[in-house]
Amino acid sequence: MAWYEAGGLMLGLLLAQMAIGMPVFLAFLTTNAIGVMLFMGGTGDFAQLISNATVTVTSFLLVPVPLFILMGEIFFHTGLALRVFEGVDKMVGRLPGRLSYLAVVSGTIFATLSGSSIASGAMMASMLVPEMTKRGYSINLSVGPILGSGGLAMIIPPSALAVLLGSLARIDIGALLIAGLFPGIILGGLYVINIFIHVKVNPEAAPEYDVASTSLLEKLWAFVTNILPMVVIVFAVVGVIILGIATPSESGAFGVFSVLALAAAYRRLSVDAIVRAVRGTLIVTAMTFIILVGSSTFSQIMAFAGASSGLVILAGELRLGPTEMLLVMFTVLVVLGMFVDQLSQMMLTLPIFMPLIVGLGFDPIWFGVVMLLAMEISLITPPFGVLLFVMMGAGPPGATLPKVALAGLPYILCGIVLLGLLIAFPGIALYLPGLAS
Amino acid sequence: MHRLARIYDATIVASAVVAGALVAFIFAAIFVDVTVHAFGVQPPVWAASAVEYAMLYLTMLAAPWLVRKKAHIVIDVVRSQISEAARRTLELIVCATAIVACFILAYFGAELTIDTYERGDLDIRSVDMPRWLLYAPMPAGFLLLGIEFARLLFGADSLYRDKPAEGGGL
Repeated sequence: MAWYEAGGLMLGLLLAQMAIGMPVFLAFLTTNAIGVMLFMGGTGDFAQLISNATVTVTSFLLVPVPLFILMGEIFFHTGLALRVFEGVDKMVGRLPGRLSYLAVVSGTIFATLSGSSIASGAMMASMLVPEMTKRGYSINLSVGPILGSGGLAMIIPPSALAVLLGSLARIDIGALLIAGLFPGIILGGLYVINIFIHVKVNPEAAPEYDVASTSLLEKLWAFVTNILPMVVIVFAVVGVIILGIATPSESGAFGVFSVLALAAAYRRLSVDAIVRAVRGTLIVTAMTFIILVGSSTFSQIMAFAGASSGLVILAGELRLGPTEMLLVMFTVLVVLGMFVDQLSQMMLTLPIFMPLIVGLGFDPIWFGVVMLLAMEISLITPPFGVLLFVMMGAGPPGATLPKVALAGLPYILCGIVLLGLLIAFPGIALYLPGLAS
Repeated sequence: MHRLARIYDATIVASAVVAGALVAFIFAAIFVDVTVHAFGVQPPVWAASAVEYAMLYLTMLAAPWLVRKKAHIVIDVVRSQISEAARRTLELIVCATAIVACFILAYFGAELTIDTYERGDLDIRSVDMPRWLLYAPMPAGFLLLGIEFARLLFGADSLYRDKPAEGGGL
């Protein structure tokens, strides 16, 4: 079988199963089982399939995944997130579009404390959307900023997705994590600019309303009691990696401990909160890891059948410049992300992209940030962006898919602007990892 | 029969509870490891291996329960566009395929586990682990997964009903 027939068969089997609603991990498993029978040693190699799966999921590199998720779950379930939110609420005074800014600022802070975009987006939706609806905000300024800032958790460390990407693509995980910090914050800044312009052009979209006036002292107090302590946690996680004191898994453990300690200090730590946090962590970790179990042999079969190298050579024959090739890869990721989940996105593209970017002379850490950005955008692209559905569930009345997706569009454009900035100034991503090494 | 069903249900939930305990264990083990190390004491060598195994065990122990919670990632590309009858047909195909796949993997997983047990193979990590311990959760997990999909195929519940909105990944 020629490489393109083999690759086409594998991809076709996989995508067809996903399309009819097969759970993703099983779509991979059955495809791999058939691939093993056709291209490798028949059913005798089923043992290899199982063995590979166990090896993949027992890699020490993955330890930060459950820890980062646990950290965010404790943060949300103990009500610490609510405190941050109230603190930011006090500090943002009376200004047009204040709730939209509130979404971006608290979303950015949540992102530094939580490794999960879905959790972050769902939390903000439940806290902000009812108030925004009451105040007469248009859907573009209520749902939009939450869609945008929810995705920040994927880029800003600690990000569970960055850990998965680093381990699958063999990129230094610590470096990739801290590389996302500045790009994530810049993206938050672009969102703020976007809201500012929107409110200037169309003031009725976010009617001003009276807020109980807070004195400077009260604002300062809100900052010191509600927000400053969170900085300690951010340092516990990000700082120790930058300073080279701790590995990502150690920093994850520090992070969990810090959130627990802080919740205890605020007297918000309860057995119930811990149980719910562990339960939430278990669900997200297991649903992610079982896809690793299912997909672990996929890239090996693609390589064995010659499909990966065939595609790499084919891409080389396109004779595109580095930036053009990068834009092609970015587009492939975003389009793929319209239909499949993030792990599948990585599994399908990494075997081809990683050899390509090495050939093109891109820094793998920098490219990792670009990939995270593409995956962030995929969360809010129709028809199947997960955050769109979270918003439709929690969102204002009349939040149909087209309306919600349209509200997210300006924030996708902000992501494209960030891509441009990353291409023009790679240092945005590479400065911090450079310091660490 | 009723009693057997109750025992089976308890097994699924108990597995998930153990999996949850493993999440807590991973945090505790890493935290103790770092803290002890910071005080200049040599942390136990088995900690890293135990944490690595815990990740696999929690995944396989929770997987059947995730079927019940409708928490496995499913892509709704085609399902949202077609008629109810077609959706039901597709679900039959999906569940039947899932059952066959899970049972086949459970069978080969069991064979692999028994083989490595009899040969006494070792898994070389920070401490050497008996290799069958690495493979054992696979047949167990896939067997239970197969049964869960059979429940969906023959029972009243659907793989896609009551899907939590916040499901779908990171």
